[in-house]
Amino acid sequence: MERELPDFFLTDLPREAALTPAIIADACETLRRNRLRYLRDRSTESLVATFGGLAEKWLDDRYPLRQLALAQGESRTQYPAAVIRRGLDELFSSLTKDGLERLILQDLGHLRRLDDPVSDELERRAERKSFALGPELIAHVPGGAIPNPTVTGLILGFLVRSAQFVKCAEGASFLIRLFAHSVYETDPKLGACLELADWRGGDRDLETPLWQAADCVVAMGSDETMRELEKQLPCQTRFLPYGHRVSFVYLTKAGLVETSPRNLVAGIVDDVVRWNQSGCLSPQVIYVENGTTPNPEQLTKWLADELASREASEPRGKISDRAAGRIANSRHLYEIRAASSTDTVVYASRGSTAWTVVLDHEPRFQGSCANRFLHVKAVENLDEVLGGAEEVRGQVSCVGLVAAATEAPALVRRLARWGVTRVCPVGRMQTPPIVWRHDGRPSLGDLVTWADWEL
Amino acid sequence: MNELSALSTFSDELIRLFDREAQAQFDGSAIGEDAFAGLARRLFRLQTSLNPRYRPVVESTGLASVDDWRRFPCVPTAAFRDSDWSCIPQQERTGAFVSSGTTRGLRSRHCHSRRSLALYRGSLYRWFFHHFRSPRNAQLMVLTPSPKDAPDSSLAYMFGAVSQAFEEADFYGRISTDRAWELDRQRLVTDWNEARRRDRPVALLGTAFSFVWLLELRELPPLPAESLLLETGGYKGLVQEWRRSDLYDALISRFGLERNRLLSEYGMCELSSQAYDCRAGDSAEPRSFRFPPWARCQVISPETEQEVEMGATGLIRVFDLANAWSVMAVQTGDLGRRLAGGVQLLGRASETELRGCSLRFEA
Repeated sequence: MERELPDFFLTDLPREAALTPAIIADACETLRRNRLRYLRDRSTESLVATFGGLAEKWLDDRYPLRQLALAQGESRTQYPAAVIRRGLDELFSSLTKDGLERLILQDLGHLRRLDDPVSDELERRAERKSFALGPELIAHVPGGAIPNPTVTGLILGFLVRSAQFVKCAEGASFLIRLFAHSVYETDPKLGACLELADWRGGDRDLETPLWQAADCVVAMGSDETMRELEKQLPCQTRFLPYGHRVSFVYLTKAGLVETSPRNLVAGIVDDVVRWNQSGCLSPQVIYVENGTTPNPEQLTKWLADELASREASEPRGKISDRAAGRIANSRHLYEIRAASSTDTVVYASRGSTAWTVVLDHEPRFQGSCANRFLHVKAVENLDEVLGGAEEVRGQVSCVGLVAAATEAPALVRRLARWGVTRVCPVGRMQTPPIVWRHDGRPSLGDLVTWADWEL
Repeated sequence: MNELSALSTFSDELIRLFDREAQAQFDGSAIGEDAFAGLARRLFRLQTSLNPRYRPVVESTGLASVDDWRRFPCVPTAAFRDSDWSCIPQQERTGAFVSSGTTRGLRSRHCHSRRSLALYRGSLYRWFFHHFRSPRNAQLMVLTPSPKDAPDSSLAYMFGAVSQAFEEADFYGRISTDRAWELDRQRLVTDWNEARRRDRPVALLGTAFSFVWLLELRELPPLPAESLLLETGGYKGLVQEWRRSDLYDALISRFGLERNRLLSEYGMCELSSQAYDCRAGDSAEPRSFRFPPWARCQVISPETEQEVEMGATGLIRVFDLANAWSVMAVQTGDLGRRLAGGVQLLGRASETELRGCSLRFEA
């Protein structure tokens, strides 16, 4: 299906309509004005209802913007329709009215905290009230191709009554743009508090007016990019950087005794297939303790079988020559190692780069090429895992843990002290709940400033 | 005759064939298709037998008895970082060339002996001068350290070898205290100005990075007429802020060079032959990199591992007979486009896609 989107946002304008610093500055000014008119005094209840309803629309196969995402997604993003469908379903299933309310309670302690000065039980006893206020204008700089963090970030921005400007990567705004249009169509007044534009990163002329106008910048990308960006922001601007992160799975001997291998393998592959492993929460390495049943060799073979079967039901789709070249090179290197060492085993799709699993006994964390490329590493214990992952310490976002109930608390304590900010069962790594503290920080709580009233 | 002697004989024979090709202006009369196929077959058998690291690779693929060089198992350049791929007995080794790659601090190593270096020189020298056609009185200025200062650099070795053909030649690179390469700017400016005063053509050799430094030297005047320049080694992420075409445009306008006197070389320490994108003075466009007749280059689909159609993109694979003393079949980590005359380089497959070479932000 072909459908032209109306020109609601700067990103909708024809390519030849060049952006200028004055256009960006004007857009920011308009956003601030519209916020005062349409957003600042909206109630939390109404906003939660609006976004809960919007998420339901996105789950409905008849919703035209969803249909557009699925029809054009393959050519406009790096993902095939099946991957987008699953991604949208899982994202919008988590954005329910209940979920948003739980998040407000978790981060702010009271459902009406963003409406008025209010007291929770402890504050009432202490005779005080407090009021949480969001920035007037948030600038978002999405760092990757998956829409989840930006869609969630936009909803949180609206909840704290902020106008928002999304500066998308050049040519990588498709799904975010569709979501923005859905906001506009559902509630034009909210849509008037949102702007989207895309230009090639590093354009100081266009970026400076945005950094000057924003009270808060939420950015995602590599740590190096975050450092560069921070240098350009005025010192009073709140900066919420989310650097690139990696995730892994850890399977213990005792944990495997209590787990169905079939469910385990299916769960790991679910986390790999989601957004073709390009999210920070998808596992790149599976650490398996030696002596497990099934043993690491069997597990690797089962993972390969499951990836092959998923390729039939949810094909990975075409990727760029560069991404495919990276996989081919990496595969080739491990195949060469496998030729002279039984410690290395490679399973890979034939005649394509659709999926790859490499088993070895080297505990050093090995970043994956993504696009369904998995490393399995046989290790003795958690000491070996943490030693091997030392190079990525501080950058590990999520660990999928399969451990016995008796050993899990001690393992989680060690992982947390080492720097891991989220531990969860396999199969749920790339679908965090809305209340997830992104990289260990309260997503909603970090946006607000508090006004305390002592009675 | 044992196999090691057979490899020595093969190596000496190759040098003679290189000579004959050079005398025939590389018309393929000494190493045409059939001759290449025969030589490649002989070398494959010798390397399978003599190379303890390569043998299991060949055996694991079940291709030990194939005759077509296109099917010989390739070794990825990345494998030179963690394994020794040499056929040279330990006692005969004189040193190794080491790559400039810095992935996790691991560098490729390619071991050499007196005999393998003779073959290396034979290969590089003839193909270099077939392309780098400098005036007889040209003064050679090399922007890398000398081979004496950088004994593990194949590039410094190569420039050292070709410098001997020039009456006046000097190296202006040096090794800094943190082991990086830098330019001896003062000496370079003095000698550059002197060449300019004498109106003597300059032949410049350097890495892309060293030419960026050159552009920063505001005091350098344009080069005398007939000067020429060879650029290499910018494909491993050293030039962060420049696109190749922008660098060329800047060099041409700043130093008054003609476009057809600006050449690019594609080589690496894992190979013993190099490719050039143009012969000095030729203006054919689009340019593409060509290897000498004793090496064959293929562009391989990463998906199917088959050679791509003309105009399509894939990974560059090189079958280099001059790699007689290690492995002939090498899979590079570089992406290229297959063109009728050769291959157009598109950079490393390992580079992050969202980041162009001059992009500061991914977004």
